[in-house]
Amino acid sequence: MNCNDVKLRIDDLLDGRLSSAEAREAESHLERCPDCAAELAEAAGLAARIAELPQTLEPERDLWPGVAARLDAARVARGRFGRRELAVAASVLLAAAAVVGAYLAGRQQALTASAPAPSAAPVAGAIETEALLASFDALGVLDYATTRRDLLEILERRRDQLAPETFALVMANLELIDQSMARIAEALGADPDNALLQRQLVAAYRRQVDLLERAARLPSRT
Amino acid sequence: MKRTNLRLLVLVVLLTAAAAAPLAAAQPVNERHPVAPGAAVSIENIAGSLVITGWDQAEVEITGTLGDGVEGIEVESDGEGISIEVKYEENFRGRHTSETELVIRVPQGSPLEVETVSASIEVGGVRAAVELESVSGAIRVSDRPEALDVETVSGSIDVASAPDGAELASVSGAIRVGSSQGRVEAENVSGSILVEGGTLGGGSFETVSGEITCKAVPGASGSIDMESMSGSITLVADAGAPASFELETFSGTISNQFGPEAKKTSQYTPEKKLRFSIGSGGPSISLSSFSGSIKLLSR
Amino acid sequence: MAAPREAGFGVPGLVARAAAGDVQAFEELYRANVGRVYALCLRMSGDRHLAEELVQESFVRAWQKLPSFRGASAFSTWLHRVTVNVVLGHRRSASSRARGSAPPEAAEPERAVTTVSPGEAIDLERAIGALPDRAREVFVLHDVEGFRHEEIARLTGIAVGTSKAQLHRARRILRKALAP
Repeated sequence: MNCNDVKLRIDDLLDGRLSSAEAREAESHLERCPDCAAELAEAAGLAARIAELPQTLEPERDLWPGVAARLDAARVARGRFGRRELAVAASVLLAAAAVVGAYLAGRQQALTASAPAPSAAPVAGAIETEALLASFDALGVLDYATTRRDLLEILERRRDQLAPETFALVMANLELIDQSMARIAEALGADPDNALLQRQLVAAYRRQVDLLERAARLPSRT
Repeated sequence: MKRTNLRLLVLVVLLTAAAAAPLAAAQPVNERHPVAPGAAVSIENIAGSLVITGWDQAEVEITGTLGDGVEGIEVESDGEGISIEVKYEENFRGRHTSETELVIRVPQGSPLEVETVSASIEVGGVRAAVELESVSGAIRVSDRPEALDVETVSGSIDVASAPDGAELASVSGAIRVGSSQGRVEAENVSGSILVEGGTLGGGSFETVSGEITCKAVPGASGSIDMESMSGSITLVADAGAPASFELETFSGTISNQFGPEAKKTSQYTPEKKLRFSIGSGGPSISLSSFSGSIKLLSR
Repeated sequence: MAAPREAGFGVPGLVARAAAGDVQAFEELYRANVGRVYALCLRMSGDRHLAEELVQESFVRAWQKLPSFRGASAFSTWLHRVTVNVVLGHRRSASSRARGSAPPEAAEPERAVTTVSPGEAIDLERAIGALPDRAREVFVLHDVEGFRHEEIARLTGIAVGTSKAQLHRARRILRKALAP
């Protein structure tokens, strides 16, 4: 490779798009040629500065009012009471770790109590995590944990806007549902195909997300 | 890019009593505003009490008193609706010795939307759709609007006569329904749910730890679903009236004054199930709990 | 039970609420993402006023399309794609109208600069703003936003080779502009 070949390939070299043979050739040229090496250094310097560019830039004026004014009026009116729609979206949720834990505990108890396996197979190993998740999936529960966490975050941010007793009441009721879910999940672990328990668990998820979602948009007291 | 934002609005902004220099406690209010036929009425207030009654005039009338910390009432209206908002002083530090108590008359055919934080809400005589939301205020609807949607956190909900499709939701507040021509949905987490009697088109009642009591049974084509986690479920009905029942609990008890004993469904779990019918062609009734007791009582 | 402190954006709860029509939830999404969207619009367009317009257009578009957002990617990633399409779409319609006015690269590059970046970054932002249109788009998409040439070619409708050539051109101009 001569200087011209190398200079044409500096971008590709930096972007890692040269074949290893080509890269070796270019590098051996660069070791011998200060001119090309300087150009590579300059290009690398630019790349470093680009990498340091801020990911976000704040607009100099608030653009939200302009956006808000254009949002469809019909959807605005519907949204305040969109609880049912959310319930539908949220009923597609994934089991929280605690619930899976309770399920496993119930499963383990049931297995050790009822059928002592002849080969004393390790109980925990008998339950493939994937199969377990798939069984929760079949209940239509995905992303429950994330939804819950995110709604809790919103609630936490809005804490100042709510009366302390309201906040405490919401949290106490969330906990009540948590405890319910753990008990249902434990029973479900012992009896994974139980339709009543499956329904109850899904209902508990839905109720909790419902509660969080409502709490997140309660009218502010100020 | 410019679209509906330039919708022409006739905007009337009136700040009652805002100019009155030193705010005396409990200033009286008395004002009227015209409302276009069918235009929606929306009311917002934080604390105190709101009594809203429908009347046959094409006007909104606001009477009552404004309590401490209230700057005035802001009324905005255009052809589609009128909004009434109680405005509070931003940095009120004084003592609240008097409450804002308002009586608002609205056209009986206007859809109504009310939002409060701790203010109680009482609605009567409104025939159009009603949506009420509060955090801790008690909510009472004294007769039947066209549609009803009520939400609160800790406040109670009391509906004398629920319209078909009514949705009532609370977290810890008690919910009471006097009667209903149609189907009612009520849910809460830790509060009780009571359906008093009279007629009922159908219903779905759900709670986690609260008690559910229903003293009404729908007609032949209706159905009732009651579901709880640890709270008890009680249905009171006329003995001998046709209905088909499905009772199910995981670890609770089932007591039945009408039909056979509940049977265990599995030798490994405490689960019990009971399915039976009285007569034929009656409503279907399903009661299900995790650990709460289920009772079927004869009236 | 305490909520985690770090703010994770792309929040399904918020997205679900916004999709159901909750304007407040959508405003939260807007506040959380506007910096990213504005940075993209400003660098791609090289014009502050146009960038502001593109930001607003992007959020309005996102609001309209939200009900069809299936959550296969993070919300911020999805919004980013919506924005790229809005910016490129605007550029296509603008060039098809063949505006008689001076092309943006001839305009004062100072307008492309915001006040928040520290000194060195300002020079780079300014130099990016001064790049020829096509070179700037390819450069921003590739070097700043991390798109591959194949994706850029698909999004902008140019050949992969053209994309590479424009990137090369952009970097060359920038190196020259920033040389001490």
